[in-house]
Amino acid sequence: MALCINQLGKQYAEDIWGIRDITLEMDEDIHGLLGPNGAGKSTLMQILTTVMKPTTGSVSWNGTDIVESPDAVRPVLGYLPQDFGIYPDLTLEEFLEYMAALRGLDAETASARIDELTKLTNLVDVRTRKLKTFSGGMRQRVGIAQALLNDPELLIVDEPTVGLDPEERVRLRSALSNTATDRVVVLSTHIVPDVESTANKIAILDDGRLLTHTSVEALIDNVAEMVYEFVVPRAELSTIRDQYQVCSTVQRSAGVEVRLMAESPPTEDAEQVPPTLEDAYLDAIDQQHEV
Amino acid sequence: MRKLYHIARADFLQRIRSRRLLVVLAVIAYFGYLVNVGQIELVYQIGNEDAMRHVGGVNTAAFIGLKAGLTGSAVFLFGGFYLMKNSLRRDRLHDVEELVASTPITDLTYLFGKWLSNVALGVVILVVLGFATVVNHAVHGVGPTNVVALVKPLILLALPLGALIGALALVFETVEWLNGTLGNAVYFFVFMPLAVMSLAATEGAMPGEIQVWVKATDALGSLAVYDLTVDALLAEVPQYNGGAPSFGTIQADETMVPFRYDGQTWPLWIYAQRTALLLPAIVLVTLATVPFDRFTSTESSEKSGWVSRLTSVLPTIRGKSEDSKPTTEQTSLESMSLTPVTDRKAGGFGRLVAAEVRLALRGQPWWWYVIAVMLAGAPVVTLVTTGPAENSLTPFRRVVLPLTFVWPIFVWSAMGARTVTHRLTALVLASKYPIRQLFAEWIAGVLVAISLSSGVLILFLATGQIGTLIGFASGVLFAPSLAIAAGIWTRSSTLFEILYLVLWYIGPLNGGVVVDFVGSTTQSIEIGVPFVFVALSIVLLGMAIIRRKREIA
Repeated sequence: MALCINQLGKQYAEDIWGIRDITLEMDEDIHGLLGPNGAGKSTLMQILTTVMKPTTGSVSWNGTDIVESPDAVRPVLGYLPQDFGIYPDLTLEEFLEYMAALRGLDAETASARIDELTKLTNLVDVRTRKLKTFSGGMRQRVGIAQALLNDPELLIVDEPTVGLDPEERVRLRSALSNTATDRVVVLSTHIVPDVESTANKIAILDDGRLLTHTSVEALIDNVAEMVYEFVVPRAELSTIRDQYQVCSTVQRSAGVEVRLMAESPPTEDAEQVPPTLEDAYLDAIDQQHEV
Repeated sequence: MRKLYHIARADFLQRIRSRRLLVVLAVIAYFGYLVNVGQIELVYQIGNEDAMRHVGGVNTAAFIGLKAGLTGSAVFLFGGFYLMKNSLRRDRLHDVEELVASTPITDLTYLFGKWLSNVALGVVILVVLGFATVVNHAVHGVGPTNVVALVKPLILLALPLGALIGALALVFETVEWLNGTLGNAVYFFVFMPLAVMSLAATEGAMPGEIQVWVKATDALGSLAVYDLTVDALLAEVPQYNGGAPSFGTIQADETMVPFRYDGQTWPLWIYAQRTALLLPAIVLVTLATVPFDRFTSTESSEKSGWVSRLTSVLPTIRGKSEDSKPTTEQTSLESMSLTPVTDRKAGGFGRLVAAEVRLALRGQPWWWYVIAVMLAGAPVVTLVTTGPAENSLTPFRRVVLPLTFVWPIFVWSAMGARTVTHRLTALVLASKYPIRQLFAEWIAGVLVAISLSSGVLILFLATGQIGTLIGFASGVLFAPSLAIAAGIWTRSSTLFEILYLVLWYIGPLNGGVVVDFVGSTTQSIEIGVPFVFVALSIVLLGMAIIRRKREIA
C-alpha cells in the first residue's frame, strides 16, 4: 500500500495557492503532517480524500491515479475532516450504521465494528443517545469512530485531537498507534506532541510548500547539540529573542527559563539539552522564513 | 450608531458577495426589461369577464416608473421575505453568533443592524431594477427618459415595503417555531394574502371614495398608483366607474385602449402612507428583541416545548444530563481487537434507505406527526365507517388530497441540502456510495409521500377511481424530485419551498388545471398534466444526480 503525491498544487485565485509543488510518497506507517495554520494541510487532506480536485499534479493510490479514478480509494478510505458535522436527531448508533452503509459494510460487520469502536472511543454508554446532546469532545470522538468504521487502508485524520481533554487526547493517540498496522495513516495537526507520540514519519508544510518529509529521528538529529536551556532576568528576554530562535520560556522565581537553539552555548551557564520534535519543527519553519 | 453601522455593514458585505445574489439580480434586471416591453402590465379592466376591455397607459417615463415601483413592491412581497431571511442564521452557521453574544452590544442594536442589512439588500435590488428600467425605457419607451419619474416610485412605493418585509423576516427568524419551513408557509398563506386583502375593498370605488383604513393598509402602493393615474384614465374613458388597476403578467392585446400619463404632483397622503410603513417595521424589530435569544443555538427541538418543560420537572425521565460523562470504566486499548473488514462492497442500500427515512422523519414537532397520522388515517376510517360511497369522495379529492401533498414539505425541504446544513458533505462525497446516498434520500422522500397519501389512495381505489392513480404517481414523485434537485443545486431549501408552495397553491389547492400535478381536478387528468409532471420528476432527479456526479468527479 502506498500513496504517491506528485507535483501537487491547488490554486484558489491568481496569486493564491493553497499548496504548491508537493511531492511525497507515503507507505504503510503513520505520517504526521505538521505545519502552522494556513500552511495548506487541510487543502492537501481534501485532495487526498477526493473531496477537492488539484489544479496541478497527481495523486495515486497503489499505482492508480485517484484524481482520475476516485473510486480506487474511496472504499478503503477513512476520513475525519477538520470541520465536520453530525445529524443531530440520530443516535450515535444510528449515525454509525448510516456511515457504515455509505461505506459498503454488511450489517453484521457493521454491528461488530460499531460495538468495538464505541468502546475504543469511550462512547459505549451513550450509543443510544441523540447526537445533539453530545459535547464537542464527544462529537470529535464520534468523528474518529466513523473514520475507522470500514477498517480503512488509508486513514486520513485532520486535527483529530481538537476539543479533546488531555486524557482523551492520550487515549486517541494510543488508539491511532494501535490501529495503524497495515495501513497508511496521515495525521494532520499543528499540535507537535500529537505527532511526536504517534507518527514515525513527518512531513512539514509551510506556506503551501513541503519543507521536509523524513523520519522523526532524522528531523530531531538536524538540531542535535543545538538546544540550550538557561535562566535569564526578565529584562533580557527581548534581547535573547532578537538573537536566537527561542523554543519556549518558563517563568521561574529567578527570572525566565529559556529554551533556545544556537550553534554554540549562548551563555556560560547555558546547559545543552536533548532536542525534541518541537525544537526541530520550529527550526525547520524558522529556516524557511529566513529563506 | 457606529456599532449599528458595523453590524449592518458586515452582514451586508457577506450577503452581497454571494454568487446566488447575482442570479437574483439578473432576474430583477430582466423585470426592468419586462416592465418596458409590456410583459408586466398595469391596466384598468372594464366590463365583465365576457366582454372585458383593458385600458393601459402608454410607456411614458412617468407610467413606466409607476409600473417599476409596483414591480419592486411585488418583488419584495413575493420574494423579499425569502431573500432577506437568514441574516441571523448566517451568524449561527458561521459561528459568529457566539462572538456577538459575548460582546456588550445590545439585542436591540444587533437586531436593528440586521434589519438595516435587510433594507440595504432591498436598496441593491431597487438600484438594479431602477437601472434596468431607465436603460430599457431609453430603448423601448415613449417620450423623454426622465430618470426622476422612472426612479421616484421605486423609492416611494417599493422601498418602504421592502423595509417592512425585512423587519418581518427578522421577526420570523427570532421566533423558533417560525424560523423554518413552517414560517415560510405561514408567510405565504397568511401575510401575502393580508398584504393585498385591502384591494378588494376598492371594487367600484373612485379614489376619493376609498376609506382611510383601506389606503393605510395598502402595502403594494396600488392605491397610490390608482390616485395618480385616474385623471388620465377618465380623460379617455369618462364612464369608468371605479376600482384599482390590475397589475401583473396580464394578456393585454391590441384592443387595449391607451391613455397617456405624463406624471403629476403626488398627493401628500401618498408620502405619509408610504413613510408610515416604516413605523410597523421599527415596532416589529423592537418587538423581535423579546423572542430573540442570542445565547443559544436553537438546533434542538427537544430543548423547547412541552417535552422539555415536562422533563425539566421530572428529570429522571430525561435520563442523563448533557454534560454527564460515561460511567463505565474505560476499556483497555491493549485488550481490544477490531473485527477486520474484508468486504467493502456489501451494498447495504436497503439500510441506507432506512437511515434516510429515519433522517427525514426525525426532529419534527409532535403536532406534525399527529396531523400526518390523521391525513393518512382519516380516509381509511371513512371507508370503514361509511363504505365506498361515491358522494363522500369530493371533500377528500379537493381538501385531503391536496393537504397530503403539502404536509410533507417539512420533510422534503431538507432534501438535497441536508449534508450541507449539517456539514457532512465531505464525508458523504468521500464515501463509497455518494450517488446511492442521493438516490436513497430521494426514495425516502417518495416513501414519506406514499405513506401520507396511502389513506386517500386506498379510499379512491376502493371506490374504483383508478384514473386518480397517475395523479398519485405524479404527486409522490414530483415533490421529492423537485426538493432534491433544488436542494443540491442551491444548497438551501428556500427555492424548493417557494416553488412548491406556489405550484401547490395554484394547482392542487385552487384547481389551476395546468399545474394540478396530483390530479385533484378531473380536467387535469384528462389533459394529462400528471403525466407531464411524472416526466418532469425524472428530469429533476436526473439533474440532481448530474450535480452529485459533478461534486465527486
